[in-house]
Amino acid sequence: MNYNFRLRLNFTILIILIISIKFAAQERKVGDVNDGSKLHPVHLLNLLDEDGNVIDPKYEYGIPFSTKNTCGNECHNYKIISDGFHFNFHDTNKIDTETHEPWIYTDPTTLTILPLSYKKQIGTFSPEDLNISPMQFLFRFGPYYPGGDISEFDSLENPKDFMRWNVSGKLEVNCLICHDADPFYDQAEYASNIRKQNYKWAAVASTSFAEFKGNASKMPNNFDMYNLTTVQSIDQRSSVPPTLKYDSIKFNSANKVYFNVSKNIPNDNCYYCHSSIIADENLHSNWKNDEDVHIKAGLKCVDCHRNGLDHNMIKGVSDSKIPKSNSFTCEGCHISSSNDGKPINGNLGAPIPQHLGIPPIHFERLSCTTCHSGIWPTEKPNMIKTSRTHFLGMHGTNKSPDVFPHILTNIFTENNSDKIEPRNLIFPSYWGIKDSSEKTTPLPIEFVEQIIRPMLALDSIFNFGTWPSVKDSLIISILDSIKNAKLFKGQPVLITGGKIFEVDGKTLSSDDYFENGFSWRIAHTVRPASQALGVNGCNDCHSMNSAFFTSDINVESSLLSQKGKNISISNFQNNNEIYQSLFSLTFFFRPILKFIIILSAIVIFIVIAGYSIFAIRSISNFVFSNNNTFNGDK
Amino acid sequence: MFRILSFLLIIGSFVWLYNFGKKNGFSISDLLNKFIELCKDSIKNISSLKKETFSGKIQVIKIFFYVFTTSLFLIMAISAFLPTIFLDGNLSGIFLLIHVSIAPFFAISLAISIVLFVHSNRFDKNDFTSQLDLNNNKPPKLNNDGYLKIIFWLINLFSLPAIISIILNMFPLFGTEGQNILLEVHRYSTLLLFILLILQSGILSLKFKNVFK
Repeated sequence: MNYNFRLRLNFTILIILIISIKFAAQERKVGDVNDGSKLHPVHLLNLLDEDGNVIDPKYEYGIPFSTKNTCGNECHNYKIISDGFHFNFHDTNKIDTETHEPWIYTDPTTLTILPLSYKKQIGTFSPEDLNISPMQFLFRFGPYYPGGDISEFDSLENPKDFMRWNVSGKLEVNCLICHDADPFYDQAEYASNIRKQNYKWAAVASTSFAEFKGNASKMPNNFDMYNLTTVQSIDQRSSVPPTLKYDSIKFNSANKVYFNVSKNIPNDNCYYCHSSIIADENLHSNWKNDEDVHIKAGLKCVDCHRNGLDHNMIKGVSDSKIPKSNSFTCEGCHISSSNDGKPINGNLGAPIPQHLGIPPIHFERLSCTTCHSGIWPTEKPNMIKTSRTHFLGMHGTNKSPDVFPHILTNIFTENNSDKIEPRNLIFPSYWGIKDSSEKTTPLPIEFVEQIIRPMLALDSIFNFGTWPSVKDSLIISILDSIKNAKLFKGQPVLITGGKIFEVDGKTLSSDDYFENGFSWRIAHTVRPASQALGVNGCNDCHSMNSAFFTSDINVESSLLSQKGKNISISNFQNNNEIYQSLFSLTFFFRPILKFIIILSAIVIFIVIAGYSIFAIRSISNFVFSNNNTFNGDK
Repeated sequence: MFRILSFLLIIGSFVWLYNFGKKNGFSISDLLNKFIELCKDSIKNISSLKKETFSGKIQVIKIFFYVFTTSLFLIMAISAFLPTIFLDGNLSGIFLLIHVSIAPFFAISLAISIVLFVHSNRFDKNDFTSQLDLNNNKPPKLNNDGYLKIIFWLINLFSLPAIISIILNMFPLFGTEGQNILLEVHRYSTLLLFILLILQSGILSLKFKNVFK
């Protein structure tokens, strides 16, 4: 064989290999293809470790199972699934123009409230912008992180945390956090293990067939679970090395264990990350709040929020990348009709609304959720607590209604499609640097925590109550210090309460910035038609004092001088407040106006009808008279 | 659809008015100036109504209501067609506020005007250029008075669906589809009213041609 031939042969083999790998990554495995049976397959499985070896549950050193191998080795394509919506945090190049609930970095001791997102959402900051490493991110937000993406790939990419990743292991996509229908499956246990950096144990620790204790975050960098000499320097009374024991009774003779996993995911599994509660003393108990009307009608979250193998969830809005996503929006089930005779609406018995007497402009200017979602609007908008921001459902969570950050809810805001929709709202507060092009970037969190926090000297005990605020003079001295340190290029600033503050001589100058805060749409809890806005008539919204147009939003600021300021909700609706009041005033007189118009129509009708009779008489006289000449009235 | 159609019809009727005026020796601005003058006169006359005789009083009131109704209709038409044709296609904001605030005054003023003018707008033999005779094969033509009366009755006729459609919209009787149909009825009938008003002003100007001289 000559050299050229060998080169070509090698090249061809390489191409075939690349195509095969690509194809293998895309192929559906045995459990990914449905044979048509609606019967739920029993998942009696051997557990596989991260190297793909079958785990012996009786082995003294319990080895954590790998979801990637146990679920993905033979039955499900892990690659396709791990690209899904809940796991592709980092891997998206598209800028998201729609805003979703961000991860909110909150630290009252540094006056920081920052919306974070790996998904490049407009108005949010990437953790990378703040020098927050994936490991730091997981420490803070990991309890609600379902695994995959940064928690799998950072171990290979980030040399700084390389040793720690070796101790903690990778946090693979945790299939069980959603799919395990076992009532003993414990999400809170998963959460507390993430906090302890027990990443590779987190999935197994939350199951009912294993017992786990330990804290990997306290272990040394050279920790080896098979070698106890590596933990000799650790006080094992307070920092137990990660130890796993399988409940061997639950395994059969072939070392297989039953997983109660389901495609029909129980609502409780969704609620772990997607719960919210009105943070008001009077409503801060589940029994005082109503459940979503869809849930009460017998639907499950996944009946609407469906997905295929790719796990690209339908999010209740139309998405061109997801086929049939249109059918699972509000309109898709309740309104849309088809031209080909195949019914689209009425999905799963969804009632078709008549919207009697509601002018069509409402459907052009309002989203369905405006009238049907959230709680009934109040003069002062309510605060809400959400799982991911306020760590609901975890052990030891602060249950106080006013835990930071304070998220306002049901703020009727105009979206990108010029429709008003209810949103949750925060006012970001952070330290930043403004460059010559007026672009502001937040200061690295590490700098803020180590340098600014001691200067502020705020109480670090309380994470609830009234958001702390400090005197202008203190802010001036801190901003001056940052400037004098010359560590960053540009002008140091503080962004808070919808304004940007910088030192101008010896005072603080301010300008509008994030003046409408950062908000994201909400869709639940859905109220039935009989409790929707408008059920009492136009005055539900169009009255002089209706909360819909006139409520005042409290702007939470970290500056004492800016404390207690309110802005009108009309600012969020692209409406003029005076106009709204005038327009609402017309509804006060509307009954009289209706009466006048009806009276006018009756008068006009009587005149036309009366004179029509005259006209008919004249025409018949003209036609049937002898001389056939027209003589007007005669 | 309505946006394009209303744009074409309104432009078309103004072109007709311009050409009609050119042929008959007046311009659109003459027409506008005359209308403003008429407005001022009618306000002046209505404030000195007591001095008039009974028939004089009726005449002053008739002219006042004609001017008042036409002015209100113009404001309503501008507030509706301007955003519909040239802006985002929706009647909202300040335009909607003006439109709904004026609507009841327009409706009552229109009803009073119709009552005041209806008797003088009955058809008679003077509305034709020659005597109407069924035995005659050649039909007689309408004169300007005849055309004005036809326009008057058409205005009456189209004002009813315009008013009824929008009042029905305000009651919980029709669903979204019905509401949309009612809105279309309102839009098209008011478009026809607007065109009829332009035709009427052209023919009226011809009738009172000497006032422009």
